[in-house]
Parts: sequence; C-alpha cells; structure tokens
Amino acid sequence: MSIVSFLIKRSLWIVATLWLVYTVSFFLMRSVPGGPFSSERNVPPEIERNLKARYNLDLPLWEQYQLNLSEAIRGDLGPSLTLQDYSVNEVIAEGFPVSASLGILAMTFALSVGVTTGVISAVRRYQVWDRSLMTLATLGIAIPNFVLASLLIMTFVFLVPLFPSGGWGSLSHLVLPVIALGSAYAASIARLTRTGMLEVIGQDFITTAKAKGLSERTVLMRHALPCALTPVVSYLGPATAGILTGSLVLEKVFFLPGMGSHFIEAALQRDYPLALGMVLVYTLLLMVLNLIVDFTYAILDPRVELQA
Amino acid sequence: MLGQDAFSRLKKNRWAWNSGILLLALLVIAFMTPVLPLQSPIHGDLQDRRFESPNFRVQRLIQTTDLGFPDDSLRAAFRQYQEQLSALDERVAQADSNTDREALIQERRRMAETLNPLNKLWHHPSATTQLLLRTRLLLFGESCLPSIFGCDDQGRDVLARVFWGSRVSLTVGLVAALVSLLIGVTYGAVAGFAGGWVDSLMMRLVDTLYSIPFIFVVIFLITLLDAEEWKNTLATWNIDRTAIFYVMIGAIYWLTMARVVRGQVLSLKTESFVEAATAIGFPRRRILFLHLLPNTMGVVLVYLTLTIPSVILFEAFLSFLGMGVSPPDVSWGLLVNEGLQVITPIETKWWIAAFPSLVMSVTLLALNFLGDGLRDALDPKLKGR
Repeated sequence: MSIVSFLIKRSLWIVATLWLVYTVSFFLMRSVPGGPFSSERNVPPEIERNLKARYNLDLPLWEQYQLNLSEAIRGDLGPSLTLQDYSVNEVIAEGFPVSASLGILAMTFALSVGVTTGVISAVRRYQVWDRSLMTLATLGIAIPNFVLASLLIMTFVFLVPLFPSGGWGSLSHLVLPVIALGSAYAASIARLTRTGMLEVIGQDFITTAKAKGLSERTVLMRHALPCALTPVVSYLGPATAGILTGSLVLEKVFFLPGMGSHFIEAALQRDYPLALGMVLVYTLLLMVLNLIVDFTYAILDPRVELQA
Repeated sequence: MLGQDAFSRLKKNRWAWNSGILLLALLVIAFMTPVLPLQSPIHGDLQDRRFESPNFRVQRLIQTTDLGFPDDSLRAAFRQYQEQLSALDERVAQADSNTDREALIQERRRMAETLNPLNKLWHHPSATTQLLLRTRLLLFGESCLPSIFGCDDQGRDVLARVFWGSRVSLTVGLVAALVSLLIGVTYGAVAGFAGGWVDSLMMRLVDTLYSIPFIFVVIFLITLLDAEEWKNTLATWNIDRTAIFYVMIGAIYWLTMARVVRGQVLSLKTESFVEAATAIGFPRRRILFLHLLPNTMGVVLVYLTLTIPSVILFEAFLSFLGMGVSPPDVSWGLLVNEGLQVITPIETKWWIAAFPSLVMSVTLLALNFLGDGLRDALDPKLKGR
C-alpha cells in the first residue's frame, strides 16, 4: 500500500471513530433526564423556556444533534457547565501543554531508561545485574502508578525534601510525576529490549561484524540495537495509550492543572460538554499517535507493510 | 486444560508455582474474612483512635457507646433483636385480616433490615456473609485482633479494611475477567471458525475498538449512569452500580482474548481431527464448541491470568479517582486513595497508604508471575518475552 493511500484510509478511520464516539456519547448524555437548567436552582418556567430557546434545547433531539455536531466539526465544543467563563476549547487549550509535557517527558524517560537497562541486561545475561534488573522490571510492571507516586512523595518530599509535592511551574514539579508515570513502561521496554537483543546477538550478521574486528561497543550499538528495537517500536502504541490514561491519576495526585485533572473534575461534577470534549480530544490524540507509531515501524523495518 | 508436561514445567518454575499457592491462599482468606476475628471495617472510634499508629493492643468489637446496643454487647443486642422479631411474628400470626397481615409482614421485613445489629458493624452483609459472621461470633466472641496496621482518619482498623477490601477487589477481578473471557472466547471462536468476510468484518471491528481510549469512555459512562434518574431506573431492574461495573470492565477487556482465540481456532481448524469430525457428519456448532474450543483453553488460561491483574488495577484506578466502589464499601484502590489524602508534611501517617499498597502490589506481582509462568510452561519457546 502506498503511503498516500495509507494516510487517507487511516484518516477516514479516525474521522469515523470520532463521529461514532461523539454520536453515542451525545445521545447517552441527552438520555439523562434533567437538562443543565433544571437542577440546582429554581428558575421560573418562562425564563427556563427562554434559556432553552437560547441554547436550542427546545428543538427536537435530532435537530439539536445536527446543530451540535456541525458546531463540533467547526471546532466549537460549547461552554463548560461548571467552570465560569470558560468554553470547553479554552479549558483544553490551557490543559494541553501541561499534559503534553508530562506525557512527552514520561515517554522519553521510559525509552531512555528502558532501552539502557535492557541492553545492560542482555550484555550481562544470567549474571547478577541481569537478574536484579529483570526482577526490578517485573516489580515495576506490577506496582500501580499511584502506589509508586505515594512512595515517591513519602520519600522525596517528606523524608528527603528534594522536590515539591505538587503543583505546576518549574521543571522540578515534573520530576516525580514523570518517574511515577514512566516507570512501568520503562520496565516493559527493558524486558522487550533484552529479549530482542538476545535474539539478535545470536544471528550471523553479528558474528560477521565481530569477525571484521569491530569493537564490542560498535557491534552492539550500531548493528544489534537497531534490529533489537523493532518489538519496542511496536509496543509504543499501547504504551502511549497507557501513558495517556496514567496521566489522569498522576495529574490528580500531583495537582497538575492538565487535561486529565479537568476531565476527572468534569466527570465528577457532571459537566457533560467538557467531559465529552475531553473524550474526543483523547481519542483523536491516541489515534494520531498510533498512526505515527505504525508509520515509524514501517520505515524502520522495510519488511512491514503499511496496513490501514 | 494444562497438559501434564506443561504442569510439571510450571511446578519447576519456583516463582510461578509459589505465586499460584499464594494467590490460592489469598482467595481462601478473602472468602473467609467474615470468620476471622477482625474489627469492624466501617465502625471506628472517632474519639480516641483516630490515626492510631500500628500497635498490639487487643481490641473489642464494639468500641463506642453510640451504637445503642444494650450493655454495649453484640450478644445482648442480638437477643433484643430476636425478641423484637419474634414479637412481630406473634402479631403476624394473630392478625385478623389478610391486609393486616400483609402490612405486618412488610413491617417485619423493614425491621429485620434496620434493626439487625450486624448491619451497624458491617455494610449490608449478604446472607452467606451473615452466616459467616455468626460463625465468627460463636468462635471468637467479641474479641478482635489488634490494629497491627493502625487506624485511619475515622478510627477504623486498617487491617480489617484491607481484608474486606480484598473481597471486593478480588471479586471484581475474577468476575470481570470471566465476563471478558465469555465475550472474547465466543467472539474470537466464531470469527475464526466462520472465516472469510465474516471474519474480516468481525476483526475489523475489534481493530476499531482497540483504537478507542476506553477508560475515558467508561469514566464518561459511569458519570452518566450515576445520575439520580438513571440510578432509580436501574434499581427497579435490580441492577446496582457494582453489577454495571463488572460488565463494563469485562466488556472492555475482551479484545485481546478475542484475537488470541481467533488465531488459535484458525490454526486448529485445519487439523485432521476437525476433518475427521466433519467427515463423521457432526454439526459445525458441535465441532466448534466441543472439539476446537477445549483445545484453546491453555492459551485462554494464560490470558485470563494476565487479564485479572489489569482488571484489578483498573478497578483500583477508578476507585482511586472516586468513580469505583462507593463508601462505606471498601476496595484496595479506595484505601490507597484514602491513605494518600492524609499524607501531610507535618505528620506522615504512612500506615494508612502503605499496607493496602503493599497487599495490592504483592497480589498483582503474584498474578504477573503466575501468568508469565503459565505462558512459559505452555510454550517454552516464548520464554523470557
């Protein structure tokens, strides 16, 4: 499949999925009795009618759906129901940089620590280093990120005050959240790298490279590592999804004002438009990132065919 | 399910085997929790025992006088409760008309619910749990284990809460994993066995669902279903939040299972025993469910052990965010969350978060070890992946 048709097909899938998520959520949202103006305070019926007319809530459901959908397509996700003077777009625009820096840093952390650990383990296979690192990796996979976060807070905030306990502002605010979020993925990547390396090291071209008299380091880094990393690249898709989800919890634990904490607030406060907007943004983000991962995979490994 | 050689390979893997034993023990302990001499998980001493650090002082089941039990003894409270009920029973027997009797029976049902002393110390125990609790009262009376895990912000015993929480967390893990098994195996088997365009259509749907961040959708759905109006509708159908929870979690974890089973069925389909069964003239459904599916069970078992920890983790994740189990019910995620909220720089009450975290991590670790071990035992080629 050519690159262009691959991109077109995948974009169509993304649009279709977004539409599906929007439609299902819209009708579920409206199936909850009681609109935004009917709860909390008592408004005289005449005023309520005016309010509803203003926001098109008096139209038949189907027409409301068409109206809202066309607005959403034009990029307007409507006003928030709980945050004063905020539209959903503004909340997302404010939260996105925070979440993005957390996610990108966590991914970088996971990749660098994971690959390094994996290579060390493979080179020193079945020795003390390998065994202890791999036990640590299993531990890292099993421990939930919020448990790790609480451990980190107890140690590095209260016991040895090195980092702030939460908030947003400087790079030091991000150190603990990034470690808590990235560790589990670093552990998985370490295991994948190790197996990949062990498999590659036994192959003929590595023996050839060694026979040519190349140094151990060049053989490992230039010849073995790129081949060993293909399983890691294919793991990046699920890892991105996991990091997106994990950021929900860690933004809450560390009081980071990102999209995740807004989403949780919106869900708890029943701010439906905001919650729906967030679901759409996260779906789009995940699908685009997956697209990039698949693309990279095909470039790195020419044997892989692009499949939409 | 597991061949004999696979079983012996599993037994040789010390970590996996011990994890399996540990998990079995954990399951038994979780089931037997009501029989163990633990303090009440929901009733605490708000006055004197808030944030009590771990200690070895033996405790009584009833710690405060505000429960309104006669002589502050559960036994006396029980006697009073039985007397009240039998008095009502007598009135039911002597009732003049049918309508009177109906009304009295209604009242008796209500009384049995509100006056039951067990309900004050444990949150709505089911019939089995009540039976187990009575056994405990017979065996151990009203003495309890000391608070070796300390007490939380409301003076409740953390040890008891961890034990009761394990019941919820493990049940969620098992039930939701079984739901996912049921959906995934059926779906995958049908797709693989049907083949052709049916297969590609069904698998394309799975691919699409894979790309939706389900956790966000589930959180969104839980918010909607939590609205008062929905709650009432669902209550009339006898569906509570926990049931929805099970189904919803199960419904998002079936995708991998479906893929795995489909792959297995595809490769098994061409084996000669299937051909033989077809030649004999067995109907296709029988071949699928009686001949093919039993052969996929090994792989299914592996994925089941790997699904359970992710489901437990997901429940913990939701409870942690305040969207899972609602108090006074407890689960591990909820406990860790409670612990995290009271960590302050002035005074670290580490025990409230530490012990639930520890128990949960050990369980998840054991499940991961067992899953990996099972996979290695079934397919030694995959070892170390």
